[in-house]
Amino acid sequence: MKVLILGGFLGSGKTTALLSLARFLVANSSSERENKVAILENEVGEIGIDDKVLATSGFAVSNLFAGCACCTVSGEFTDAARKIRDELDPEWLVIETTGIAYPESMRENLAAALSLASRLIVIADAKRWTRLFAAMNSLISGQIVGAEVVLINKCDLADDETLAKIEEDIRGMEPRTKIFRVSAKAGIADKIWREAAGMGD
Amino acid sequence: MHDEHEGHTHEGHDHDHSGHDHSHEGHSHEHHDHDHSYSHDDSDHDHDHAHDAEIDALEAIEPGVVAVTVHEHDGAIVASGALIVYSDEPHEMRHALADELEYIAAEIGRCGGTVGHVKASFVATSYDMLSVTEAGGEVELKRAPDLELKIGFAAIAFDVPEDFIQNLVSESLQNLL
Repeated sequence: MKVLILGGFLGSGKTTALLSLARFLVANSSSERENKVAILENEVGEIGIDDKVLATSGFAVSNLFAGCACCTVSGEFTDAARKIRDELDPEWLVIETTGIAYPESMRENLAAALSLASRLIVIADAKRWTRLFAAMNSLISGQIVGAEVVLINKCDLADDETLAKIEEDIRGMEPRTKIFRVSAKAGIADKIWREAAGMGD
Repeated sequence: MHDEHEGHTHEGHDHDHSGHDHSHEGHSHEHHDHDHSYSHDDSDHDHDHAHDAEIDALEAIEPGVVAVTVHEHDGAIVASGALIVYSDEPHEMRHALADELEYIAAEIGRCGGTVGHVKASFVATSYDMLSVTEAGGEVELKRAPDLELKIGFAAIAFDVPEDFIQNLVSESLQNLL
């Protein structure tokens, strides 16, 4: 089971991107496994909102509520991932974090508990970046750390100068990350998903 | 919502905290005139939320009853709400719901908070009954006049008190009744 962790701040477009990613993975799978993609949703509210959109799109979705740091370091998160591995054995597990989670700590927990390697894809919100980065620098920075790929989403809603500044900010937090400008709503190109999923490595 | 539709107006908020009105075809929404102002103290960021998963509000609540819970979560204030109503006007209800989301986001910003995410799920279910009384007979279809509308709601914000968000979400769901 290959694992992708999709992180990013609240409202950055993670669920929209996830739908695109899941479709890409299914379309480009060469596996004989019955389940190509399973999704582990990690929502912060007590009522599932995002999972309904994903489930009605034909994907196997598990929902883990209250995905804060204490949950992700406890066994709930890794238990949910283990259950998916044991019961569904998908080719891909895509984990959508809550918008206030730190994806790198989730990756570390997954590796420690299940010896599962994973890639981090983080969605940055171009429209709100400047405001959020000023107000919540620590959280936003912490979410970027460790990301193999950062997708600057809603790039159609920001000017070039702003986008260049966002890229500079992101490189300051995680110099090795690959950065792409996207609009998840308009569609994300396969070559970007190929890179994000590590399929070109 | 960005689209305009006939019979729907969304008035700008007057920012005087005296409530606001939404006008929809067949709906009149009025927020109660009460004080939403607050004095923000630094949260101690207690983890007092339950870890026992979904409250299953959409399955458990009675139709017409507003259910709202609130908790603090890693510095974010999270209000979750649910409502089931019956209506033959799902489009109007969806637009009214969109108005409420906009209103809540505006109120959070107006009071100095930061909007994390305000979102809702909206599920419309129609009920059909099919029957036949004899071999070779025609199957009869009966359809319930109203749809069951299940609304799930989450408002996540920073630097606002819990009761502020809880009251906002509760009011918004009440306005949909």
